[in-house]
Amino acid sequence: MKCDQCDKPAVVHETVISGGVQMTVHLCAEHAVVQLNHVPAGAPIAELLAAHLTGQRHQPACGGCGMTLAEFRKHNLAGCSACFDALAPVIDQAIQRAQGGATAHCGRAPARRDDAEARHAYRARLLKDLEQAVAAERYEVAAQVRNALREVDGLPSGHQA
Amino acid sequence: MKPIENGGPWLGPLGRDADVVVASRVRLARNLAGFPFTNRASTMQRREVVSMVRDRAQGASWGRMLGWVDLQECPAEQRTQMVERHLVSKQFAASDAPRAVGISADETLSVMVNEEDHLRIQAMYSGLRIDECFAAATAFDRGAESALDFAWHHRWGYLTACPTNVGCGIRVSVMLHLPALRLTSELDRVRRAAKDLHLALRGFHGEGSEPMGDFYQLSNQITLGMRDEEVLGELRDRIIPQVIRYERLARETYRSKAPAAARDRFIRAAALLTHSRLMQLDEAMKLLGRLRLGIASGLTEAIDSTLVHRLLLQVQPAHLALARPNDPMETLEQQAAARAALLRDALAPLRASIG
Repeated sequence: MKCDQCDKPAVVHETVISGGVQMTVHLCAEHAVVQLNHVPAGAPIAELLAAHLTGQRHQPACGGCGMTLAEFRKHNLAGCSACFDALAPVIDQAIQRAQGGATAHCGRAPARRDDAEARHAYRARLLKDLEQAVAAERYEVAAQVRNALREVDGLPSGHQA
Repeated sequence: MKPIENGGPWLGPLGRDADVVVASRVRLARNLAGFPFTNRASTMQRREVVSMVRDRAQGASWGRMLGWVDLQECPAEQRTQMVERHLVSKQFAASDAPRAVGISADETLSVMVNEEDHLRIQAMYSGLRIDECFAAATAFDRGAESALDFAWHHRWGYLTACPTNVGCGIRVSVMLHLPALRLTSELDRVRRAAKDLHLALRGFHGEGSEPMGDFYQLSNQITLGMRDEEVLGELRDRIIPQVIRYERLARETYRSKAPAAARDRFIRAAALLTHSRLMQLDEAMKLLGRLRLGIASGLTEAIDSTLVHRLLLQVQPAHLALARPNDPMETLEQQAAARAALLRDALAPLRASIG
């Protein structure tokens, strides 16, 4: 099983209760530290205690409609337009799974739209993806993301990837 | 809603390939920017979405042809009738939240507001007429987008609540009559092939419904990374012709291997439909399917497929009840009696011809 937050294998599976709703989260070691204050095995007892004392557990949710990952997973329905950025990359994976692996729309667009804000959010996300890919030394992914960034900026994408 | 006798998309010209194809439908899913999707919208927001879409449509050339029905004010039986006529989905008819549907006078175009998505624009025609369906749905869509902002994403295209509709939001379905493929046990092969091609083969009323009378809906599942025209073209030029070929081949095989059995099946169906005093829905659908196969195989000229299509709707419970407002139809037996009477009456020419 993959981590809720990235593509790495999940090593922590924890049932949490948030807002009266019980849900199970699956996280890799790194995200477990960030999201659940999960302390890796072998950590000193002081750290364990500190983790419990500060333990404000965070559940990512959409700023637009309040949809959490667990709710999305349960019904497989997005709650609003903002979910598509707020719940990434989980929603990305759900879309690609449902769509036979397709990764982006092509074809018709509404004649009238003001997507400057959406474009900005998408660009910010790509930058984050690029940073992560470089940090993880996944250079092929980084090249793909860079091409996507160039497309967003209206530049011709490189083809060396 | 007017009585089905006056017309409707099902009762139009049969067109080519009518031996296998019953009807075509194109549906576009759209959401309004700035509102949560239906599943997250408050009652107030849902009301606002309904009045926004309805008001803009009513005042414009692209939407003036629609007559609006407020589902909250619509009696249950009429809602069911709209489901039976494929104008609204079952879930849409059953929900109790604010929602409305706009229906054109000839019932070829219907627009559900506050289904799973804010707008579900659908166009329906008899026979294999995918392109006409697409043209009708797109005309409304283009008009609507000149007056409303649709939810749109730089990467995902048109945004929809369910990931299965994201992208171009198009669902093309063709209603097919496949009795011979089922009789020769080839249907599972078609179903598997369809799945491999990312298509779904569903029952008479679409998603989650049982196949009745060997009627099936074949529809695309992929809406992302393909242009509308590619989705249409693939079904129109490649897949549907192939399924039609298979079904015809299976019919030919069945007829040549067992000509007496093929004729007997038709005569038995005709005899039951024209003489029964009680007729349950399942049986009526099954027998009407056999009748349709007999007509396509040239076993009778006393009636045509258009009559069968009309009866397929008229035998449904809400159609039956609304057509006979003075008849008590409280029990299944009363309903079955009314259905049998309707069939005997409508198929009188057939009774005379089979002797």
